[in-house]
Amino acid sequence: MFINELSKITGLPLNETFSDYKIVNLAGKALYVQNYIKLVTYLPEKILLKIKNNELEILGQNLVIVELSEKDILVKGSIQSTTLTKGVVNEKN
Amino acid sequence: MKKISKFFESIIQLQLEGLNFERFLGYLKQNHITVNNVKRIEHTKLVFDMNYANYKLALKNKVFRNHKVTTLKKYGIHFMLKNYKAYIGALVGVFVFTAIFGVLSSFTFNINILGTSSINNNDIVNVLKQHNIKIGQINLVNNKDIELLLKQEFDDISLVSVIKRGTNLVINIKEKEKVNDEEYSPIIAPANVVITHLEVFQGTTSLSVGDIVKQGQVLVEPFIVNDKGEKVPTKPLAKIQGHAWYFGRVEFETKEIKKEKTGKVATTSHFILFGQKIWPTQQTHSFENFIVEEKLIKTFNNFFIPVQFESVKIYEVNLVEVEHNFEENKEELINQSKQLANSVVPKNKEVLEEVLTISNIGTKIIVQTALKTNIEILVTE
Repeated sequence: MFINELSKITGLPLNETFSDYKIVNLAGKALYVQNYIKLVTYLPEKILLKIKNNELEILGQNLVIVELSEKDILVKGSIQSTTLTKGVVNEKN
Repeated sequence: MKKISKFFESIIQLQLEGLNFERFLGYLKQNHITVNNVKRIEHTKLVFDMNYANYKLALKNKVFRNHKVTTLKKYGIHFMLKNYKAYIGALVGVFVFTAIFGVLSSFTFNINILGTSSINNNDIVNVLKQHNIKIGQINLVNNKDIELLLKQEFDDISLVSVIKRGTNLVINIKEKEKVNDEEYSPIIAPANVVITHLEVFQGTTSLSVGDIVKQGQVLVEPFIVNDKGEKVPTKPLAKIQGHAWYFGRVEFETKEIKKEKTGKVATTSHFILFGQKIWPTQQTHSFENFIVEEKLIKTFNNFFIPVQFESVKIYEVNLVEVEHNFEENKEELINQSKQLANSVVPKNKEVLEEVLTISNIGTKIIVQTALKTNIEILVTE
């Protein structure tokens, strides 16, 4: 429902928002990523995830993967930064 | 709730040793395996949890093939049951033993009856048999029903309790107390008594203070009369005080007739064989006063010739009257009567009074000593 509302407000197509990755940062203490493609690196200080058309770098301390499933990953720890390493790619541009 | 779901889900904590854990986590993703609490505790060590279903899948797909795997913890029903599989034989044995024990425990192998005196134990066992409570069979009747049954069947039962102890059926019976009239005896005078105090707590008496009661006479009867005029048996209880009299009596004849033989004798005799008199001889006599002496002699002292000789001698006598002087014997007679009276006085009883009487009845003089003592008859329980 939350995604529905967001897609309405932003005007983004719903099917695209559903299939693309989503990142939720919970107060810098936990991070939820949906629809990741691959876990590239896992260290207690760094996690690198391959996502659609990009890579997500999570930096922090004592990073623990609370749950790792086929599509989702929930990371807990002291999260200092989350960065898309290739920048945001606008397909239209 | 979470703990319960974890218990049924079953969680295993594993430690992987090696390199390139990212590749391993990629295998998990490919095989749709979910893991939890993934921690890289060292550069070459990774710790994580997975549930039993995922663990089985991981083993099946050999996702651990490139790493050394160590199990750190196991929790949940699957692992518990897996451990017990090794002991399945023992478990089956315990189950079978418990089942057999349970079945045998419901059998009754002994009926133990306690507390019966007038009721025959065999009668109780027979009544139980009629209601399918038998030795060597499973007893399905509950204890309360057995108690009720016995109470209904036996009027003499006052209380009954039934307990099953293992294979024993213990029946504890309290019988009704029977009131027996013969159990209560009256209070009897132990001596000749003049009653000075009479207090009856229970029972019936027709006596009162001043009455004289002879030894052996009833003092208090063992019953009470109710409103309907019926005699209700009861134990007589009373406190009776009085004076008891004990007597010693000696008789003295002042005149005596003595028989003196004159010397004339008439003899009759015969033999006896098998109860028959043979060879009788008889002398006739015309004596006015005589005495008879009989003699029976066994002629042969054995069992083979049973011949006996019987003779009867009749002596003529003269009757001579002899007088005795009472005064000469008086002191001795008085002492004798006193001794007799003292011999019947109970021990430790103090003699309060002594009465001596000398009376004549024809040619007979009676010397009697009466001793007076206190007496108390106390029956309180």
